Amino acid sequence: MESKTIYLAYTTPDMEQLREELMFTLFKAGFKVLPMGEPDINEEVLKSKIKIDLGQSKSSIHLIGADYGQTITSEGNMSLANYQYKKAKECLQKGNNFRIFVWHPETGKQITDNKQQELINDLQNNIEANMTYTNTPSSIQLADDLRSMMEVTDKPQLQLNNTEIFFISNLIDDLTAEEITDMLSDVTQIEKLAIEQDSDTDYAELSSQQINKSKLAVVYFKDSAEWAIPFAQQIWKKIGGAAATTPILVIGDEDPNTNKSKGFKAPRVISMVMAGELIPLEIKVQYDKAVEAV
Amino acid sequence: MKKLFGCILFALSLSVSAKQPLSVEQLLNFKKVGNPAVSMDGFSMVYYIETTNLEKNKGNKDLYLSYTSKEGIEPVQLTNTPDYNEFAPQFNRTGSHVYFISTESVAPQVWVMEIKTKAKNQVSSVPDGIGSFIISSDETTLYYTADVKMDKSVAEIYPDAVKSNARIIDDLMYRHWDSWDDYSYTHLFFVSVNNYIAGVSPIDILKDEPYDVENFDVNVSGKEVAYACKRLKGKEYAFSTNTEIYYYDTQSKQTRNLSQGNLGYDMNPKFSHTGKYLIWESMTKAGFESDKANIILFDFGTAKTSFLTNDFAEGASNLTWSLNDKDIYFIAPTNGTFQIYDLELSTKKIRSITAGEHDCKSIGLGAKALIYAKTTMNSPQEIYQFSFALSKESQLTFVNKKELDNVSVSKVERRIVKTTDGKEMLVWIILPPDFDPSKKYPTLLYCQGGPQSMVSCSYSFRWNFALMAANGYVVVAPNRRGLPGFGREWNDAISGDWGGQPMKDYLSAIDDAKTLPYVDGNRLGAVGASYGGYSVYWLAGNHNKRFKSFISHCGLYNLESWYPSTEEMFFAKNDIGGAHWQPEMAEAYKKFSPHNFVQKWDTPIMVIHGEKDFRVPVSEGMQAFGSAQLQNIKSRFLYFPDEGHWVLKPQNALVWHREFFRWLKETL
Repeated sequence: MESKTIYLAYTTPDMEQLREELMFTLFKAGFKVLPMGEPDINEEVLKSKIKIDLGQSKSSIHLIGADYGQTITSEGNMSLANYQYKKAKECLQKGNNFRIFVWHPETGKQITDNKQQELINDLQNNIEANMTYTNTPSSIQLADDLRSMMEVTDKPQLQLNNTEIFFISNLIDDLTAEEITDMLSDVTQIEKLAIEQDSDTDYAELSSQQINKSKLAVVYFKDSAEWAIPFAQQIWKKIGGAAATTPILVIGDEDPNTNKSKGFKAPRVISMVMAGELIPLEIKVQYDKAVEAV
Repeated sequence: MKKLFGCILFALSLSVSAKQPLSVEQLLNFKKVGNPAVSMDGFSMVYYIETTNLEKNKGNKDLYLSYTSKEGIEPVQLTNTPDYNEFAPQFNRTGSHVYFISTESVAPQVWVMEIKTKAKNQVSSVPDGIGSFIISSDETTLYYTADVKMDKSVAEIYPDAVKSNARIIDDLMYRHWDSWDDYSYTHLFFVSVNNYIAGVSPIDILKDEPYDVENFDVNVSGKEVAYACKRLKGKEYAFSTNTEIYYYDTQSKQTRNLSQGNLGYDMNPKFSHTGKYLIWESMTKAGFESDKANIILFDFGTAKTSFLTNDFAEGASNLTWSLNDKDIYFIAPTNGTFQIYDLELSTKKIRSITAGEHDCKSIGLGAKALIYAKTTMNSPQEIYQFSFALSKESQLTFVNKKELDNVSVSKVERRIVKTTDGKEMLVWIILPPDFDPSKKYPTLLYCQGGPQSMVSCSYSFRWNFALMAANGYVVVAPNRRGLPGFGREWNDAISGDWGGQPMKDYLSAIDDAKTLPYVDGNRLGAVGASYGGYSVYWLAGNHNKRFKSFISHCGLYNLESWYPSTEEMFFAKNDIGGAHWQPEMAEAYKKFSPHNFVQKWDTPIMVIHGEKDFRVPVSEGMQAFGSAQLQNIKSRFLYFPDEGHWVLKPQNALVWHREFFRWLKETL
């Protein structure tokens, strides 16, 4: 199995053009894409090919449009898109860091088929670990996300401990960060990472692995907003974006005043700028919510 | 964030000479810290700080937030409203919001604030305001007390005499402490918060019942409530302490009396965190308000009650469940202090948590510590934590530190004095700042009120020992007969013996003090309020030239006139024994009523009394003052038309203190 082989699922006619665009982008990004060509008209041959191609892939991408599309009679008239998704989920259950990306871009076309709406609801409500649901309009952005997320699986696993809160800050803000973590350490287990900007350490990799062993990740900034927001975006992608199991709290001190406009809005990300003295309390509140959600 | 993390430096004082003795003005300007409400996770706490505006003659309470995990962190001010008060804070379950009472809309209402934004919203809108409240843990139901008018006023009986303020009274309890009966009763209500906003009326648990709810607690389910209520009226109410604990189910609307059969006080119910148990404070002796408060446990599984503190000598208060419901923390008087104890439920073993010369005033649960407010004789209330892991206490708030750093401290000593019946009595001796043992100091015998209230390590804003000492007086404060903290026998020994052994104990204390080289035996004064004021009047006729000056505040002068004119008759009946017209009481009245000894008064006396004091009506002070005047004894009457048993208004407090020390300066 090649680590850069992606199963780009057959899709419905309304998404065919986007599939071609994405295929081209993936090729350019260095990915090998399966399956090639049209779906076989013989259902058994088609089902067998899907199984083989998924088995050779490290991840799958499913483009979801407004149409229900081609169905498979022998599967109770399940749509081809749904069938491939279900088979991909079986690969996910087997482990081996298989990943699923569901791409549901906004096309403006109304969904008229109830079965398609049910499929979309099912996809949105059942995102699991190693699954990403995105509605990014750009295939280039999607390919970029894929690349950064798939890189994670190629990295060696670091020896990290499970923790309750993983607190990331820049060394510039270490004094106040230390005070916050010191206070929180009295009520829960906390791992702190102070990032040194000129260091050779792969902090994004380290962070993403530690986040997966934490119940809440915190990216804190006071005088380091210019570092914090891009870093938060980077690690969010690495841990699975909207499908991340661990929420990220991006929290900034309202002093300096320029911080007030800083933030990062994304699914599974809570972003806020507030009075510094209330930051420990808010982290605790968000941590409690994360624990409760688990 | 510097301001947050700028730890308060325990700077050494600039120099010893920079410190000044405490002044009246300083005392009255100290900020008052309320008891903290601790979040359920124990991470943070909210409390009010009251500042006094002497010029405007009022105090103002604002809410502050602090973290319980670290000492010396500057608190975060949550409200800043000079024109109205915020108090009684209560966290929501996650600690993100705080509910509290605010007077912003004139009548006190429940408000809620999102802490991170400080945005606040009014939750209740009860026309005449609420008294107390609890929001259910899921924040769906609001429980609150509010007054319900049920009886008719004169204006309602005679609509053509609406300007008449006459009162038609057919029974006792027509006035209480400092208020006349307002024809209303304090009831307990509950309402779904969403329904309330939609205009649905709250449910009155005591609908049409002419009784008052004293206090209550809500179960973790948010659907059951336990409350204390004395379902009696008039004379029966006045003579009884029989409050009961009622359990009310909001679903079935059924009420059960859980304390039926006990004729004494049952108060302050507290549900366990799981809701399986309810505890409360219970006194067994009918009509005795100062009986030992036992902890009673009611098990909802077995529907049985059990006594938890039978083997513990003192009464328990401030009952608080531990987070795992395995322990109950409580406060008890202990040898002149108030300490926190831990009762292990499974074994009923009790161990003390705190120690030292202080009064613990409240208990909250921190993450790994107990959080509590406390005072010492030299410092107003601040908030502390006791770490279980370190077995160590640390101070969390330093609200008055800056001011106290400039005040010279009075030395407080314990002294054990032999009483006339061979017992040992704890007497506090408070020495003036910069005390010089080679000097002779005028000395005040402090007579405690209550009468069953321990002379402990409280920091009063009126009877303040540190201030008396700062004015150059040695203070002798005996824990005479009748005070808790020294065993039940000692506590109960005053009932029926007001002018007996307790007076001998006072004289033992002051006679012992006279042997101290630094006490000027020719300049002794006696001061006190309530029962302490009574003591002063009694001593005035029985002191054998010991004292040079007396000050009696709201004292009982004539027990014959006081007994039928006070309000809580259970207290009068238990402590005095009965009315003066009862033949068996004749001897006691003869011996114990100070007015019987007034012909022997020979020493300057200052009388202080408030018009709205209905516990000890102002006529008691007037009789005492008139008797002194008519006998040409130097005397002064300090009269407060709008104060009750206490002096609460800032400028009245200022005058009280100035006159207190002016009198002593003139006469001692």
